[in-house]
Amino acid sequence: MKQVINIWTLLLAILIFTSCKKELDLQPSDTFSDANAFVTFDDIQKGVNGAFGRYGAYANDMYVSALLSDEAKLGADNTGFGALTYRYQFSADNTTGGDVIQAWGSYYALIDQVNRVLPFIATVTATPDQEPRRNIVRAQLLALRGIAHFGLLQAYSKNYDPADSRGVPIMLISNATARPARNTMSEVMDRIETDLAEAKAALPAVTVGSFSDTVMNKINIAAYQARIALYKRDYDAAITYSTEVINSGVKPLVSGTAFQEIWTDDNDNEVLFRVRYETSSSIGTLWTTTGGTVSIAPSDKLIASYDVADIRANTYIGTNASGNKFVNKFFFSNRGGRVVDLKASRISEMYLIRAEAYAKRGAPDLAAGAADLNLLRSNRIFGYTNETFATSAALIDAVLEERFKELAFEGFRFFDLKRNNLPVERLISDANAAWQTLPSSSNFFVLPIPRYELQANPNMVQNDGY
Amino acid sequence: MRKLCLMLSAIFLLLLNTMAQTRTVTGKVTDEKGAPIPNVSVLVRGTTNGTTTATDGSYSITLPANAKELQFTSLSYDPVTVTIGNKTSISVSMAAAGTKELGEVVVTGISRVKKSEYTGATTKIGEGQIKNVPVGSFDQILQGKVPGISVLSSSGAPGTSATIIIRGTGSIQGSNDPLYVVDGIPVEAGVFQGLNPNDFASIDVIRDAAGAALYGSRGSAGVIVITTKKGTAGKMKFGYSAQMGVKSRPEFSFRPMNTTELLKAQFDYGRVSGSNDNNANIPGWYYSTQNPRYATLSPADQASAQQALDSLSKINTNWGDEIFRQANFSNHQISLSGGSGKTRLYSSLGLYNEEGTTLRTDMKRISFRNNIDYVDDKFSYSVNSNIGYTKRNFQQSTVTNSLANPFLTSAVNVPYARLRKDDGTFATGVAPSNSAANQLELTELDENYNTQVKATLGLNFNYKINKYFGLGLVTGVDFRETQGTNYGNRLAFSRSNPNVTNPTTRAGFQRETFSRFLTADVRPSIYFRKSVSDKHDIDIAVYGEYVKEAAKDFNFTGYGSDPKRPNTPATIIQGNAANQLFANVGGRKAETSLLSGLITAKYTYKGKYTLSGSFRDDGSSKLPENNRWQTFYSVGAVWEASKEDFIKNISAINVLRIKLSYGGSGNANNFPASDGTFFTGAYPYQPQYSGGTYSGLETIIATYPGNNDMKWESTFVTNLGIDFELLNRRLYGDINLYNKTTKDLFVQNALSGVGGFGDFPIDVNAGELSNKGFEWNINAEVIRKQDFVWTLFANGGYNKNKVISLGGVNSFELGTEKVTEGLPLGSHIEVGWAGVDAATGQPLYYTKEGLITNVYSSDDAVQTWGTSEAPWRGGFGTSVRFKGFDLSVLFSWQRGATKVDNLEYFMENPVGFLGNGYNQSSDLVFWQKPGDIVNTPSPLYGTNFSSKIIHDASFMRLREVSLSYTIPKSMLQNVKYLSNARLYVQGNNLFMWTKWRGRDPEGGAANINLSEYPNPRGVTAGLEITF
Repeated sequence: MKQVINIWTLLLAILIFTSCKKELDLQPSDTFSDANAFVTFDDIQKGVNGAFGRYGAYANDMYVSALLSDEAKLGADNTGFGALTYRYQFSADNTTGGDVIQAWGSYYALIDQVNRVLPFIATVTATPDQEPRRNIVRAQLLALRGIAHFGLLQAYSKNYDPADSRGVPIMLISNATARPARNTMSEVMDRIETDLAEAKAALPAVTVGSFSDTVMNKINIAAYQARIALYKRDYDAAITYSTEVINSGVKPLVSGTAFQEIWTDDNDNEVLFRVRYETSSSIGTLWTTTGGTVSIAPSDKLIASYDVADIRANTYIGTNASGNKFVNKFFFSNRGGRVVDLKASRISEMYLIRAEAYAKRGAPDLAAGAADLNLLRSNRIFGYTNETFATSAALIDAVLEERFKELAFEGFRFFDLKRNNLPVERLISDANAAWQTLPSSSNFFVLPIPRYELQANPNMVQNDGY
Repeated sequence: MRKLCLMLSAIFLLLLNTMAQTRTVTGKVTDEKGAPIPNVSVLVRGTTNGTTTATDGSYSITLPANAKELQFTSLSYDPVTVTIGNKTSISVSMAAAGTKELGEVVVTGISRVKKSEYTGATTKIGEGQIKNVPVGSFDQILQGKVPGISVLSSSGAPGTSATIIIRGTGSIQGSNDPLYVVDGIPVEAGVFQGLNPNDFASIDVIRDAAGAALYGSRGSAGVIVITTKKGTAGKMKFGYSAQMGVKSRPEFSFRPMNTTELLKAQFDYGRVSGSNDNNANIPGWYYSTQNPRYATLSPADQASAQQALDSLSKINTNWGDEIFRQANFSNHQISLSGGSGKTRLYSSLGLYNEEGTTLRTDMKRISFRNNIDYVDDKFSYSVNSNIGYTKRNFQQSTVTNSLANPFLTSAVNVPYARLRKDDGTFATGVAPSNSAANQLELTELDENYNTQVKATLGLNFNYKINKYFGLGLVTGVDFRETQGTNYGNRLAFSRSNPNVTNPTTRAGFQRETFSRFLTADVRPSIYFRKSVSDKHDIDIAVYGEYVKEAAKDFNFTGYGSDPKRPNTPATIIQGNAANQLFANVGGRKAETSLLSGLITAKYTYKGKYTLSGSFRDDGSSKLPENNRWQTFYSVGAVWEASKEDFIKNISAINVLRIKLSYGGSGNANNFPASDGTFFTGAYPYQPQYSGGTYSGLETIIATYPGNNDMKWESTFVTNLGIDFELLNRRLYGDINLYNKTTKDLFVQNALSGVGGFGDFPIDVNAGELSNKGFEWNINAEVIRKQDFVWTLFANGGYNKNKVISLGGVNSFELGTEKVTEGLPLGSHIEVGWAGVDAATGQPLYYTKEGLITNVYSSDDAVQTWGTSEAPWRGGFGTSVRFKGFDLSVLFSWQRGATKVDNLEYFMENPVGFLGNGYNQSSDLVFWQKPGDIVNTPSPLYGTNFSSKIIHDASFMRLREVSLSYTIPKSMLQNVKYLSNARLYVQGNNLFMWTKWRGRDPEGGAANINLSEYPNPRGVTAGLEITF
């Protein structure tokens, strides 16, 4: 009898007093959790693929930059898409500000994906041939994180001012419940530069043959460094980085058909970095639906800016059966349907960066700047004769105008105006008088922090005017 | 099992013959009113020596020398045990089960406590109130019978479980299902069609903390404890009961227009709107001679227009008659109950068959229960087992606003359409006018049903070590496997018509789903009980518990089934690039575990004062490691005031008992899950990553952030209760007051986008919710005579629900409601309706400031429309027993709830529906000319959702009426073998009093009625005989 009691007591004791960790430590079988998401290097590669995919966030930069600037107007068939944004009637909420607050969530989603994968790179199991790739994917992720922070800084902070306290929060570790405050702009810029520099240092040299425009490498990181240096107004650095890209020779400027076919994915000329879309037509449908509804059209101002001999006029702008103009970039595809890649960085931008930097740097080099500009124009305009510039201001104006024409709908115009403290000036044929111009002092140049962020995060400070 | 029992019985019978018999005791068994009770089993306790009472209640039994106690048991009465001593005459009075506080024992599922020593609030429903209610899911039986709980039948589809909320909603994000326990083993909530309620001896509904805290992390929504029948001691009795009847459609307040009315309405619509002259969907205007279009037609076309209108006028299909039917109901049961010596058994086989009131809906069940009990001086052991097999047929849709839903389509399909063509086939075609025929064609050609096997098995073992100590072990499983089949015949118009191009739609489909759910529970215990000189009673028990739940499901959908061999997976066509008929396959699995320790203690002094408490430590796999173990406790006290000398002398007071308890419990069983299933609720704290692709490359991306601070929502209840029996027990019942607070309430908190999930709400433990209220349960025996007893009873409760705090999180919307601090849950948010402008026919709304405007803006939505959860609800009724006749009447009601009537939006909406060729309510009166004072705007203006369609959902139902006749023993004496016979007729849901205009105020979700299956009326008759 005693034995029975003893056994019972033991059983009870086991149940009650041992915290039987194993019995209670159950893991899901149907989804990955922190414990088993990244175990092998193959998993890491999948995480990295996911991060590259999330740079699709750049599509929204393209959309917003067009809607807020003078390169677009509401299309003939517009049923409201982007209308509030175009009319500067947006605020920080989801209803009116859906377009302008989107980058906040999507760039931080990219940053979080990077931060989730990074800690596992060193520890996952890998095959011998994968071993060297640990450093490579780490560098790729760092580069993406730097670029994402730049996307945020450009949209949600004022024109670059190192002392300004309202940068964006820097996220270096994954923390879903973080409630961070904003870092200063110089802190954010330092982090961006560090990430990119560290990434570049860890990556192997690239040759014309080994260059790929679908992953981060030494050359296209330099392209982003050039873009960011220009934004920071560090012109010498901008010249250095853009020269590095141009001199690498991986993607020379092209003209004629070779240029036109960039946009239909017949070739990969000029492109330094792209987000690939295997089946999605999401880039082109930002402007024109697959059914042909023109939601966002090129502005009359943009159309008028092209010389008749300019190949970009027809390459970038199309006319549909109803006689309405539409954005021809990202419209047709050799892959069928409207499936084209997002071109996030091209070599022509490097020439324009360098030209602008030459004009703006302490000791301007107008000849060198003019040379870059003329080279680009001669590739675009049939029968072009080189132009010379008497003053820096003239060259700068010309470069900005050229960026307007060359990089239309690629996510630059609005931010070019912002960093040069220029107003948006639309033609009256493009816009109602109420939203025809946006003075350079307008608070709308700094996009609103989403309302949900302010509700969720007590440490967040809203931008002026929202 | 049966064989073993027979063998055991035989052995005991042999033993019986060898026993010495020495003396005889006689007596009479009567009920509380003094009426004799025949057929009571009288047994010498601990032996097989027994007899039964005669018609006049008398008995005579010969006792062995060592006989100590006599046990009196009868199916319809509470058992009584009497010490024999040296008496030679023992007469007892037995209390009827269910009509009064059944027994004096509260069954908590973990312990059994004398009612006089239980510190909380419970209600016991006895067998008499459970059996023969013609529903497939037992929980529906509780409506109007238990104070303080809301029982709503959200669907009249046979076998659907009810929505039960005990003492107000205690969780916003999680579910509010009580914990269900059958014979000590927890069972899956909401899946009861496999259980036969006629096997239930009692249901204890535990609403307080003293009971809920015993279940720790699982008890916060209350506990419903089912005790199934045990064998009655004595010779084996064979019982048969049969019940048959019909169920029919309930009254329906919206009467759809007939052809004449609708053509007239269309005429008015076209005339007033002025822009629908070419709208062929409204033939009443389209073909009218007054339509300006008419004048432009050629004489021939004019004639054919006239003809078209004439021929339409001759059709008048009542779609309600086509989709509803008179449904048959039958329920048969045979049972075997008896015992000899130390072993008793109860065995029953039930056959249940209920048709639904709409076509292709029904439920069939075969259930088989075997309960075996063994008791001796030291050991007790019981096995309770049940296996139920059910098959339920379903319509394609009876919930959503879809034209595949017969309850919607029969209301809005035009009456001038035919069901069948001249050749007898369905008059299918393009919606709107053919949608009802399309629906009925699908009803005939398709199949949608599931079969379910549910098995519950519980073992209960007890061993008394000595006078004070004992050991217990409860262990069991609840197992359920459901197989669902959904067959879509490719010949149906909706799949075969030329507009359908999708190859998988054209091919028809066969979908099979399999799901399995298992709960296993092991609960060992040690207890200590001691009485010191009849003054001090001490009762301490220590329990351990391990509960494992595991679920898995699997499904596939294949295409191309051959209509000549319908409804079999065998004819699925394998997919390939040419036919594109790729099958879809899916599935998932999850498991959870719970590990606990529990200590309970009770001390009673002189039967007057009781103190009790419990302490439980629960560890659960659902919580993150840092919060995994959480403790719950309760304390309580009872003062048996009527045992005090100063009350003892007041003759009007028989019993007066005051009870106070406080304690806490958690919502482990109702943890929020993103899709409401066990699967997503199993690991809610864990971040999740999913696989995907980027440009054809595989990816792993984070898809759910997890919340590593998750813990239970904890509900704390203070309960003050009074039990009373007054005026020679003519007036008895109980009253309870409670204050229930849910802390760490899950509320939706938007994450900072910086964390990577954008505008993503996660559930965080931040809010606080309060439910306060009182409950009454009062019974009065107005007349108490030997042959005539008349009882009145009323129970009910008031509950005030209020969101105390959202913990800094913003007010958030849920469906048609918004969760706002200071308001009750279920508070609708809607723009105020200000009627129709008599001058212009424009719809008018109220702005937030209360001004009338003709501009609708969702920003003007306010929360002054009441709440969807009724604060008042209850039941009342009467029972009359006259000689062999019993009449009982039960009304159930709820009051103070408001609900959105979505059907009204469809049926009184000229622009959205009348103008698009749908039928309308015959009540529709819309604005036609200046000066019209009506509530439906001119056809020139559409309407938005507004408070116009929020209505009072209060109701009172005549829930149950039953009249039975028990054939007197004197008549049965001449019938060999028959010992008891009873006949009855019963009506269910016969009438409803309500201002609600839609199908059924109980239907669907609490906040909104779509077009749900209304609860049927039932009329049944039955008989019960015992051999």
